[in-house]
Amino acid sequence: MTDQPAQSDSAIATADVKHKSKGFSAIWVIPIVAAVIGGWMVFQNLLEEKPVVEVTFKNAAGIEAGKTLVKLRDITIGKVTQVEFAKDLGVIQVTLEFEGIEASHISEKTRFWIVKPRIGVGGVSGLDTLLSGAYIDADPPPEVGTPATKFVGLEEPGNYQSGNPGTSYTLKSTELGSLSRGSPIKYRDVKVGQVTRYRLADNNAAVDIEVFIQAPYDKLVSQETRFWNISGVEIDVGSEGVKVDMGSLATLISGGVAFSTNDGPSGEQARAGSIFNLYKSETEEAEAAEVAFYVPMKLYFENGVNGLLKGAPVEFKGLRLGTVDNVAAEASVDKSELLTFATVRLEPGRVPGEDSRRQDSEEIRTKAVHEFMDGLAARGVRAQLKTGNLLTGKSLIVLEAFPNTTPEPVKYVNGVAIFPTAPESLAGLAEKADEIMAKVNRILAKVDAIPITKIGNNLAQTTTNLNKIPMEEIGKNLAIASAKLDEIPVTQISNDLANTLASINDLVESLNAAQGGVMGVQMHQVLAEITKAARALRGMAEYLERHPEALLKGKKSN
Amino acid sequence: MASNVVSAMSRGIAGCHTCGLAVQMPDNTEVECPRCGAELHYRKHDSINRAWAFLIAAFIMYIPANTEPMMRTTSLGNTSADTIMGGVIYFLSHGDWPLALVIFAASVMLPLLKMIAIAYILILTQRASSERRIERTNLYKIAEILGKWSMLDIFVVGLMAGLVQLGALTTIAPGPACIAFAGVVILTMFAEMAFDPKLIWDKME
Repeated sequence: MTDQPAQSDSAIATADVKHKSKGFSAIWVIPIVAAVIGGWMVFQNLLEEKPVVEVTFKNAAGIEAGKTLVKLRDITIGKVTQVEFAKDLGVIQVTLEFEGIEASHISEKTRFWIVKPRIGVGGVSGLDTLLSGAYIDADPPPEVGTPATKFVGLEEPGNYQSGNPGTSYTLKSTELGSLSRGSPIKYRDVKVGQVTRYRLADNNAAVDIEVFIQAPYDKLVSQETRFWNISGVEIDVGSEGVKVDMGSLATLISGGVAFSTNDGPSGEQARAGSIFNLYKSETEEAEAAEVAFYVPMKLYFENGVNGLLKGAPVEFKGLRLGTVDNVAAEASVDKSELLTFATVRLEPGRVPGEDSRRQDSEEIRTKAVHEFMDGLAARGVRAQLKTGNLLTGKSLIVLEAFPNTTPEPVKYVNGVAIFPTAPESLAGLAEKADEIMAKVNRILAKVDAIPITKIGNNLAQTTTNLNKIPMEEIGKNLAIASAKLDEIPVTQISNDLANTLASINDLVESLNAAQGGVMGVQMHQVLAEITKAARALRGMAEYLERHPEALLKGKKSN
Repeated sequence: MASNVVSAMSRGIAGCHTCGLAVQMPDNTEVECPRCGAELHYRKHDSINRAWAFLIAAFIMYIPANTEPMMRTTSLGNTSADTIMGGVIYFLSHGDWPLALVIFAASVMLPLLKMIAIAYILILTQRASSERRIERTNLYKIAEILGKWSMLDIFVVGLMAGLVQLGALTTIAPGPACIAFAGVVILTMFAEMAFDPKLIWDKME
């Protein structure tokens, strides 16, 4: 030690100063290292970028600040740091802090929902939350979008689109039936998707059912795909007898949807979000379930609506265009008259080739139908009541061109098209009667033209020719032929055949040992000899095994 | 009493740090013990500087030891991380104040008091103050004895982490504060070992 004596002894004071001027001692590395480690510990939380977002929920049952986790495909990616009411107490603001996920992944398309245990006929989900408590599920889209910090949480659990590739479609139906969230979508009885959501359509006239078909089965859905409900029991009494059609018991209770594509999966996959009809059954005619889209139309018939009932078809050139929705009457504007009218649903989906328009929005399709109707009206086409069935007197509406009338435009009242009509006039009936008379006349004229006298003459001539055939000679020839056939020795041939069969029998018997045949007995003897030989060989082998020296010395005599 | 005593150093005698042999020191600075061959000094080498370095390092580690979580408890999927003070407050709020007091004393107060005590001794010694020499020496003794018990916390956490591994039910894992806390205890022990209590008595006129 140099410093201690130096402090008290002036002679070595210089050494003391020298030592101090060295300044930095290696020992001071320790507090520096401690400072670095401690600083890193304290500030690592602050340095780490933790995206924070706010999600609002209507109901936040089971959500606890500091405890509830945020998960992505069952892996924790963050937790709830704060739960508080919004200013108006209307919603609950939940603040989430993420860890281990980049902020750019939390974009505006990210969806959040609370996972709670759910038990339904279709299955049980979120059972793990019974022990761990509810958690918040996040579903960030795979692509990086615009970052956002405020979200509205989903009330219903979403379907994993990013983790679960597939496509969503919308089915339209008049009623929901027993379908519910999670009802299976089946293809050839294999579950390929499920009902994710349903709601009333905007006009409340139908139900929109959102379905999610998992990849790769979503490729099976093309524009021609037909979806039908497999929820119920279908009993069909027809000419072939009684036919009962029923899906599985589970679908009977929880509902289900099946689909098939007639042309196989060769067609192009339908675009995501395409709208399809949901038919009531697999075989149901398109007429009865065409609800997906229609354009309302009103037809005023001056001479009444005799025999026209709800459900009657509307035809154009033999093709069904729509259905009569209602038959009613209203007072005219000046209250002097009662106007009878029929409201009609024009259903473009029935027209072949209209399938390609299925992906268009309803507005565009409505406009297209209106344009089509305008075009028809401009060419003088009018709606007319016609008797479809002479027995029941039921009527149908036919759109027909009347070249002699002046074209009348389609009027629109509150978006409902009022198409011009033509009365089923008496003049029209008279015209028809004339037509029939003319036809009858033409037939009569043709009948007149038939040369009956000439035909008679020809017949007489043919008879004379037939008389000339030499019948007696033919008879003689036949008698000779039959005599010759009698001469063939049939008995002898049959005896020979019997002999041949007997000798074949003998041969077979001689082969059959069980019946004492020669060959059989001989075969038995041969087999017995072979068995004896085999036994002797085995004896020798065993003896040799025990006494290998016998090979050289020969068998010892006992 | 102490002023009448002549120190060994003033007589040019140093005790060997290793075997305790009293040796007459020559003027050369580099000398070794004739019995065991250890280097001989009158006092521990660079004692005050070293003690300060370890003490400052201990003070620095004391910050994360208290702000970072000591123990992470995962129970049924919920993870909670508790700092030392968090644990004290938890026990207090549950009316378990004796336990809270023990934890507070052993884990918060004791290391802090020990560090302050060493700092106090160091400052006075550096100033060559002649005040309260006996108290300082006693303080040093107490600090040396009590400091060892500060590792209690680390032992408890180590024991818990080893025992409570019940999979999904409950799992306990040590937090980063464990390392910092162990650092505090070890560094203060080093500081106290680096300090030579004889220095307290050296600067007598």
